[in-house]
Amino acid sequence: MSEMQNAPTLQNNDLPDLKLRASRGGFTLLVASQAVPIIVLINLRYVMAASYVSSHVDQLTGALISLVMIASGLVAWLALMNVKQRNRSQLNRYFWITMVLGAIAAVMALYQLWFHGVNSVGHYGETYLTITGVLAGYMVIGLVALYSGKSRNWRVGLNDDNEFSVGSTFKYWIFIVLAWLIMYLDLYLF
Amino acid sequence: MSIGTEPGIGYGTEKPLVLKKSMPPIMKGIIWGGVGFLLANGIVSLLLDPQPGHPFITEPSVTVGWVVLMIGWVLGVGAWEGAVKPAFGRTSNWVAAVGWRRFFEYSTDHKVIGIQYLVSSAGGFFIAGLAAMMMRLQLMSDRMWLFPYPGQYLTTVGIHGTIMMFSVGTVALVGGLGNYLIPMMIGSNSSAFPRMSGISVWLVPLGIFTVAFSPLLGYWTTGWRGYEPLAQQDPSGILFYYLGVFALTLSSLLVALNLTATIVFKRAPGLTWKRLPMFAWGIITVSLLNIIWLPEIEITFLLGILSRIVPFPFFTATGSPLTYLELFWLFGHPEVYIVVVPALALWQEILPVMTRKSLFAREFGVIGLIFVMMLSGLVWAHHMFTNMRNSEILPFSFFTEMISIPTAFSYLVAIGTIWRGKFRINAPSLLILMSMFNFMIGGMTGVFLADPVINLQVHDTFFVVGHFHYTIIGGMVFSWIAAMYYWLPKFSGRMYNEKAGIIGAIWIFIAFNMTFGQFFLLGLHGMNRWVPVYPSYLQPMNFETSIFAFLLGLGFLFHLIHIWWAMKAGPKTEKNPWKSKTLEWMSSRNLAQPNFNELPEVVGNFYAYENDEPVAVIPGEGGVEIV
Ligand code: HEM
Ligand SMILES: [Cu+2]
Repeated sequence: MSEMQNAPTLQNNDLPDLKLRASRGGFTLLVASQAVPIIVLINLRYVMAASYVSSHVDQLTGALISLVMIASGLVAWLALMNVKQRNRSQLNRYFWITMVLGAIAAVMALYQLWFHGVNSVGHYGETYLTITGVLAGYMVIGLVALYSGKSRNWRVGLNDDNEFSVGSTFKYWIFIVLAWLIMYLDLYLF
Repeated sequence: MSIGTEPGIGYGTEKPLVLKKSMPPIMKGIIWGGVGFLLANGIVSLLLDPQPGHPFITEPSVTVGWVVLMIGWVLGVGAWEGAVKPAFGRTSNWVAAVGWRRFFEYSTDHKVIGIQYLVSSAGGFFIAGLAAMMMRLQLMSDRMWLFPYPGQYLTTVGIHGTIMMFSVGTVALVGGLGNYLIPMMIGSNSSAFPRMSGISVWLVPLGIFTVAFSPLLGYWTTGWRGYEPLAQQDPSGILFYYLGVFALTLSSLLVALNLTATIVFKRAPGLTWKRLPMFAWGIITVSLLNIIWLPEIEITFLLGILSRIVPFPFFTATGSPLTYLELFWLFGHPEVYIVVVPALALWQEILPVMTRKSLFAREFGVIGLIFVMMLSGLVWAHHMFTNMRNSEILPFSFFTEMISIPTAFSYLVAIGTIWRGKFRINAPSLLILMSMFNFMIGGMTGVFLADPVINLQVHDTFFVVGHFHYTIIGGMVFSWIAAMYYWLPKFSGRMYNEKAGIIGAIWIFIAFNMTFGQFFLLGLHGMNRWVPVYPSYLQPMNFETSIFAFLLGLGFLFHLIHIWWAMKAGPKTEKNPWKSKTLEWMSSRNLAQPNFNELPEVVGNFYAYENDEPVAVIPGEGGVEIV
């Protein structure tokens, strides 16, 4: 740690809730910036391929991924509701369930990438592969974030300082679930 | 090796222990990055190549390898110990270095980070400047002589433009001055997310090196815009363009998140929005642009990379090259305001101090910055008039000309402030005036360019190159140098030599106008962009333009040496030599100390120079200091 951390600052002096507000604001901005690529990709899909959906696309796996993602999102949401209780082992369980479900979804998304039946030099195919790949990337990042939240909860436990940031790993995962669902509708159905 | 207090053991005994770092963090970053590259490159080659290892480096393998290299590099310079381990709940053995070593590793001190950004940016400026000198050298003759192949010349143009835009234009005033000054200006001891900021700065040198060494993979001919479908036909050097820009834009995105949260949430008590310093307004508007448009260009470049390495036909003849152009300029035009908005804010920061007069029409200054920010998203297609129908051109032409109105607010505020004041001529104030003049030329030629009739004539000529160098060098680089002189006493406790500063200012002003003023004329006479050879009737003028360009390059070097000298050996000066009222001058510049021992409370207007009313109350050691 540098000298700065121990110096008297706004946070550890008079205004303790400011740090929380800064974290919340910063996190909101982060998610907003992360949503920009998703918006670009939604547009790209219609620019490149209008609303065409290839008949070779693996609809079953796509729907299954969505179901698993919804389940993981619900668990993450439940966990968020309970973060305030600071129950270490309960939260740990939530982390594990979200992560296992998320990992299953990510592996299935990678499966879609590897064993796809679409034509990669067609405009639907290239968009399909790009979007699936980008979302698989987001999922991997989200899983690493969840793992960091899990480790902090388990090793250090929650306190006023880290409660928000540990909880926000669930929020970030929920953002990824929503992004997946939008892209699912966009790619597989409409 | 560094000296510090060991955490954990000995805590509270205040006995300093000597802790050895196994090796200098930069070395560690290079090794981790290098090993990571080799491993990742090898794995991709094993997985994908029909004959793994022949050749060892392919487009997919180098791309994945580079991403792992980037991660290894930032982890090695200190992010692993300082940020990642704590993020995973492990105890960190990180001890911040002291002395000069702190500049060569991950740090969480916003002052150190600001200096790291400034130095990296200046490094980028001179590397890309060298490229400019080589271009001008080639253009002294109308045939190939310096470069054997046109691809080499075009690669040089691309390296020049890319490094200038993404490591200088976007970075120097925001990552550099913003990180150093903003926490002090708003009365805080740190930025909102110091660890993130400590990591982001290390992406800048990586990005610069990646672009500078792009010829290792082959030449690329697209320039800083990566135009499609040309990019798909280029040799592989274009990959390092995409990847280098990714590192640089990621860095600026993290800066934007950090500084926005800092300004919104870490202001000292009493520092209301109505009292927010102008430079902070500049940084917050530019950061909002960054938060929207940098992710946009990153995903666009990802599409470019995938198009090559998979490959996909997104932007080929059977795809939609125009989509790439739209996506590029959607970011590209806001980018020019990302470059210039903080410079406009610097005018408004420095002029009242130098005139001892209150900032004129402050609200208009703020409104101007905000409207420039908002309108900048509505004008992108003025770069593509040659591809458009008249009916489509018209709205973009209109909005482009409209944007000159909020831009002119900055002039209103600046001129109103100087008007009938006791204007003090010195290096910073002179450079600001020059910046205003240059940017006016840049802006007015921009209005011409927004006019379809003129645009269709001078598109892709040196007229355009003159225009944007007037805005970027004339507007932003001049303001940057002004700011370096103005805050030099803050950075170093020392003063520059006034005579040398003023001579240097006049020198670059003349050389700059003689160089780029002639770019307009060259363009009007038919000199195209992106060509190493040209019709012989343009040769005399090009020859003599190059001479002024070299003088300009020397002038920048002169300022660099002068500023360096002044920081090391200039005469010592008092804490607030300009008698400025903004908070950064009340804070400590000592790197081992917090900015403020006790937090200040803001009670007045920073820019009211016509009265002696107190601006802030700083509870000091010996009672309360009122400034
Ligand atoms: C001594 C200073 C400089 C000189 C002599 C110089 C000269 C040039 C020249 C000759 C070109 C090539 C024009 C063409 O063929 O299209 C160019 C392009 C460019 N310059 Fe500079 N330049 C200087 C500084 C800067 C700075 C400070 C910036 C920005 C911060 C900058 C940004 C650019 C950009 C973005 C391009 C376009 C590259 C492209 O077409 O892809 N330049 N410059
Ligand atoms: Cu533009």
